[in-house]
Amino acid sequence: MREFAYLRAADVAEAVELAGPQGKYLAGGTNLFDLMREEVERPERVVDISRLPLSAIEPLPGGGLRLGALARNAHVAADDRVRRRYPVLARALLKGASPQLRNRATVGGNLVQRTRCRYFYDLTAACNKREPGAGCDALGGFNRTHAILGASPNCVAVHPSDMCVALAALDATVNLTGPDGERSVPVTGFHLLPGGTPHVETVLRNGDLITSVDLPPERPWHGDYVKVRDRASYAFALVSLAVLLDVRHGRTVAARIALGGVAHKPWRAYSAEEQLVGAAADEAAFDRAAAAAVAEARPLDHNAFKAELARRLVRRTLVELAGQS
Amino acid sequence: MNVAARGFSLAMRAVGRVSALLPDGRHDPLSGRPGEIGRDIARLDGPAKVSGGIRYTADRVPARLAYAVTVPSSIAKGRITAVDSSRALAAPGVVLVMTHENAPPMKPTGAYSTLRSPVAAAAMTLPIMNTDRVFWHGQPVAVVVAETQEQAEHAARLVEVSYAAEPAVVTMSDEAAHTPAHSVLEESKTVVGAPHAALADAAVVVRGVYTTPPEHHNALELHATVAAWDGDDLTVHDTSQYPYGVKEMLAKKFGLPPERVHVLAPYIGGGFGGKTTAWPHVALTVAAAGLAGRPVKLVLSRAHTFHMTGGRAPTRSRVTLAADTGGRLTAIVHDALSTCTTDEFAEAAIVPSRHLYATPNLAVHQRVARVDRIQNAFFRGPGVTPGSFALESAMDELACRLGLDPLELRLRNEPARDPVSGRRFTSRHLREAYRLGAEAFRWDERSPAPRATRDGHWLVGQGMAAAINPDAVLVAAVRLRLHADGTVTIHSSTNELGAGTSTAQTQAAAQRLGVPMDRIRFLQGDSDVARTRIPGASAATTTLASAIWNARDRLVRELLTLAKGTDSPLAGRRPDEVETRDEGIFTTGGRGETYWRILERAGREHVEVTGRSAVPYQTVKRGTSTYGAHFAEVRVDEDTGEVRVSRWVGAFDGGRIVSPRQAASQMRGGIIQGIGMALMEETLLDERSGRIVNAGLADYHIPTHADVPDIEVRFVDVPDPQTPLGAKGIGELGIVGVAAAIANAIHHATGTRVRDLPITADKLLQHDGRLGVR
Repeated sequence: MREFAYLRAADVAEAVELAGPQGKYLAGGTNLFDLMREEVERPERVVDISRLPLSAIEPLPGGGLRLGALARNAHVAADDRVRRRYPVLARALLKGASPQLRNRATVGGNLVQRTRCRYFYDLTAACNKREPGAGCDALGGFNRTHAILGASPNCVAVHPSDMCVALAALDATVNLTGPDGERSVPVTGFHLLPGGTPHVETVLRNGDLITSVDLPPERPWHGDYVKVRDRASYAFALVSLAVLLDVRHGRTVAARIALGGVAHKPWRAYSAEEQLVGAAADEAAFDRAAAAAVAEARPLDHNAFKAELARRLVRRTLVELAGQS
Repeated sequence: MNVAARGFSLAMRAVGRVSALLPDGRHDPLSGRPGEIGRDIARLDGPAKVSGGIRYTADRVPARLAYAVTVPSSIAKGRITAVDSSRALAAPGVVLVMTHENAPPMKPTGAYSTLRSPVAAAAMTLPIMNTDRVFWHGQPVAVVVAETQEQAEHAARLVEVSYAAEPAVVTMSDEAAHTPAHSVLEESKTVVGAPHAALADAAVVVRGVYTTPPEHHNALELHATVAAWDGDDLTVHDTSQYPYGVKEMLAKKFGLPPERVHVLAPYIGGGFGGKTTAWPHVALTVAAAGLAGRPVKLVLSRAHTFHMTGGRAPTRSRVTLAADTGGRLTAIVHDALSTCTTDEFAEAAIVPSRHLYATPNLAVHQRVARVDRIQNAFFRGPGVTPGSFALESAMDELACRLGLDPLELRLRNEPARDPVSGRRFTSRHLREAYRLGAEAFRWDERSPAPRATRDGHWLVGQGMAAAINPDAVLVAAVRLRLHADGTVTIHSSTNELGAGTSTAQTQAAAQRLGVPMDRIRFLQGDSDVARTRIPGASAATTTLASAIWNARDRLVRELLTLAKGTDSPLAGRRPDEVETRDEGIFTTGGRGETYWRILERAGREHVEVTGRSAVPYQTVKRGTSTYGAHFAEVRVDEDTGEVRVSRWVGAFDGGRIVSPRQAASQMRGGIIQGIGMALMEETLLDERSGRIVNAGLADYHIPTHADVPDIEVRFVDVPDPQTPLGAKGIGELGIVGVAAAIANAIHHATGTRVRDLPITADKLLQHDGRLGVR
C-alpha cells in the first residue's frame, strides 16, 4: 500500500473541501481498501466521512423514504419501512455480498463500488478503466462474466451492485453535495456507459459527495429481485433482475425492469417495459418483453449465455408476478 | 517385469525401507479390541484452535524480523533482460531487493513430486532466481524485503522487470503428449486381455470424453515461511506437510550439513497436498534472510498462492466401457491426458479404472503434455479424483443404456481380486458400503427414469458413484518419552493438517500403552525427530499408529531390561510374555507393575525410545485400498441451470474407524470439496498470456454454507486384518466420486449429461435446448 494523507471531516461542507477534486471518500471501506492495497486506487488523500451524520433512514414529505448515504446495507435491508414498502430493495441487498460485508458497506459506497473485472484488478493487464488508452485485455480474454449490453470496444466491464439494480427499478434519486452546492440526479442517470471514457463511471465530479438516496412514494407494485450466480451465496451476479409490475383487470398499467450483471451500469430495459404497459398481462406479452429486454445484446466470446439467461429470468419473473396480481 | 513386481518396486523405491517389512504378517493385537480406539470424542485441540491458542507459522514474529514480498513474472516464457530495483530500493523501509543477479546460489535438488527423489521436499528442479529464464506466468522474479509488510508490498510493485518473451504453450494438446515414466507409482500403460476385440464383440458399448479443469488447493492458511540464520545454523518455521523434507531440501540447496537445519511445522491450517512439496518461496525466504542478516518472514498473498504454488493439472479422459446384456463389464478402456512440466508428474486419471471393477479386458494409458505453467502438485486424491469423475460418469451412462439401476450395475461388477494384478485384497467391504448408503438414502425409492421429479421450477434427481483410494503405510517416526511423573510425551516427525490426527493418535496411544488420554501429550512437526519420507497419501493414521506400535515394543524391551535382576515381578520376563495395560506391563497371568514403579526403582526421570513405522508385508503383497459410495440428490433450476445439492449420504469402508467424529468430519470436508469440484472450482487461464485470471477467493469459488446440504456419513467400520489398528487411511477418500455422483444426479434430474467440470449454469443452458423450454 502507498502512503496517503488520512483526513477526517467534521461535516459535509468540510468533507467536500478537504477532498478536493482528487480525494477519495472513505465510508465502509469494503471496496476502497481492497483497491488501495492492490494499488488500483492510489489516492493522495483519503477523507474519512464515516462519522458524519448521514446514516439515518427518514420519511420524506409526500410519502417517499430517504436513505442516508452512510446507512449500512444491513440496516437498510432490515429496516421495517424498507421491507414493507420497498421489498425489492431489501431482497437485492440481502442477495449481495456476505453478512460481514453488509454490516460495513454503505448506501453511498455501494453506488460507487467499482467493477470486479479481474483485468481491472491485475496491474500487469491492460485496462482502459485503470489507465486510459492502455487497451482492454478482457475484450479478447476471459469474459464470461462481462457485459452484453451497452459495452464499447474500450471496456466490457459490468457494474457489480445488486442494490443499484433495485434502485434503478424504483427510479430512486441520488442527492449530492459538491463545491457548487447541492443537486439531485436520477439513479438511472447516475452511472455512465463506458463509451470512449470507461474511467469515468458516474456523474460525480470535483469532489461531489453522495449524501442520500431518495426512494419515491410507493406504488401498488408486485415486485421481486432474482439473482443467478455461480454459487448459492457470496458471489456476484451472472445476471440479476429487479421487476416491478402493476397489473389491474388483466392489463399491465405500469412495469419496471432493471438488469444487473449485464452492463457497465444497472440496465433499465425500457423497451421491455414498453411492450408491457397497456397490453394484456399474458404470456405472449411477457415473451415479447423478455425478447425486447435482450434484443440489443452483443455477446462476447464466453458470455452468450447471459442473454438467454436474462430472457428466461424476465419471462419467468413476469409470469410469477402476474400470478400474484 | 510384471505389473505387480514393477508396482512393488516403484512403491519400495519411494518408501525405501524394505527392511522394515513384516514378513510374518503379524496382526495388530489392538485391531478390533474395544477401548479408546473407536470412542466418539471431540477433537482435543479444538478449544485451543477456536480460541486463538495455537500459533501458526505466520503468527511467528522473532526479534528484528523483516518482511518479504515476491514479485511475479508477467510473461509465461522467455528471459529477463533487465531488472531495475532502484525505485524499490528508494521506497520507505526497504531493506533489500533480491533478484537473479544478487541471489545466493541455491543448488537444484530433485523434484519431490516426480517421486524419484523422495526425500527433499522441493516442488521442482528449476533454478528459480538463479537464472534469467522465465518458466511460467507468475514465477517469482524478485523478492523485496522491508521493515513492514505494507512497505514490502508497495516496493514490490516498483521493481521494474524487462523481458524478452518467447511463445509459450499453456494449454493441453495431443500433439505435445508423451507417456510418462510412471503414473503415481503405477505403470502408465497397462493392457489386460484383449480389450479392443472385446469392444468389437460387446452387446453394449458407451463412450465418453470427460474433462476436469486446473484447480488450486486454497487452504485457508496461506503459505508462509519464517527463516532465521544464526551463523551456519538455520531455523525455519514453514507451512509444510513435510518438515523433514524441507530440512533436506534446504541443506542441499545451501550446502549445509542437515543437522544445522531445523524445520518446524507443528500446526498446519489445511494443506490438501499443496503443502507437501516446498514451493520456491521457501528457499527464497531463507536466501533473503541470509542477505538481510536478520530473520525474514514471507507470507504468500492469496493471489500469489495461485501464481507461486501449483495445483491440480487439468485432465481429459476418453473412457469406453463394454458390457454384456446382463450388465457385466467385458472391457474398460481409459485413455487419459494431463499436463506436466519438465518435472514430470502425471495427474493419473487412469488409476480408478485399474482397481474398481471386475473386467476380463482392460486397457489404460496415461499421457502428459508439457506446458509452460507452474509445476502441478498432489491434490486431494491425485489422479483418482478426476479419474473417478470419468469412470463413474461412464458407469452411469452404461447403466442408463442397459436400463439397469446404477447401483445394481456396480454390484454386478464387484471384483473378487484386483483386476490388473490379480492380487487378493487385504479387505474390501464396498458391498456393505453400498448397502449402508443406499439404505440411509432410501435409494430404492428413486424413480428409474430421468426428468421424472419436479418441485416448481426445480427438477430433482438422484445419483450415486463409488469411491476408491489407494491405502498405504508410509515412513514416519515418533519419539516416545515416559516421564516419572506419570505422563507420556509422543513427538511425531509428521504433523497435523487439521484433520484430527493428533486426537486419533492420542486415542490409539492411550490404548496401546494403557495410559489415560489426558496424560499423553502429542507433539508434532519437528524435522529433528527422525528422518522420514513421503508424507501424505492419506497415510498419517496408520503410519503413526505403526510407529507408536513399534515404540511401544521398544519401550517394553527397555523397561524389562531395567527390571532385570531386581525384585520386580517382571524380572526375567520376555517381551512376548507380557502385555501393556493399566499404566504398566503385566504377564498374561496378571503379574506385573506400573511403568512408574519401574522408573522409580531404577531411579530414572524418564525413558525414551524411537519408534518407526513398518510397512506391513501383506499390504504390499495384496491390493489395499479404501472404498466408499456416495448418494446425492440435486435440484436444478430448469430455467437458469443453477444446481443446488439438497441431500447427501456417504458410506465408507476405511477399515476400523479410530476417532469417529474426526473421521466423519474428514469425510464431510472431502464431500464439500467435491461439491466445489463438481460445480464451481476452476483455475481460469487467459490462454493468450498464461495469466491466471481468477487468482483470488472472490473469483475462484469454493462452496459456502448455503451450497452444502446436511451430509450423512456412515462407516462400515470392520477392521482390516493386515493393517495397524485394523485401520486404513481415509483422508482423501471422501472427495473421490463426489463429482460423478453430482453429474449423475444432474443427469437424472434433467436428462442432460455434462462431461466437463465444473458444471456451471451456462454449461447446462448451452448443452441442451430442452432445459427451460416448457
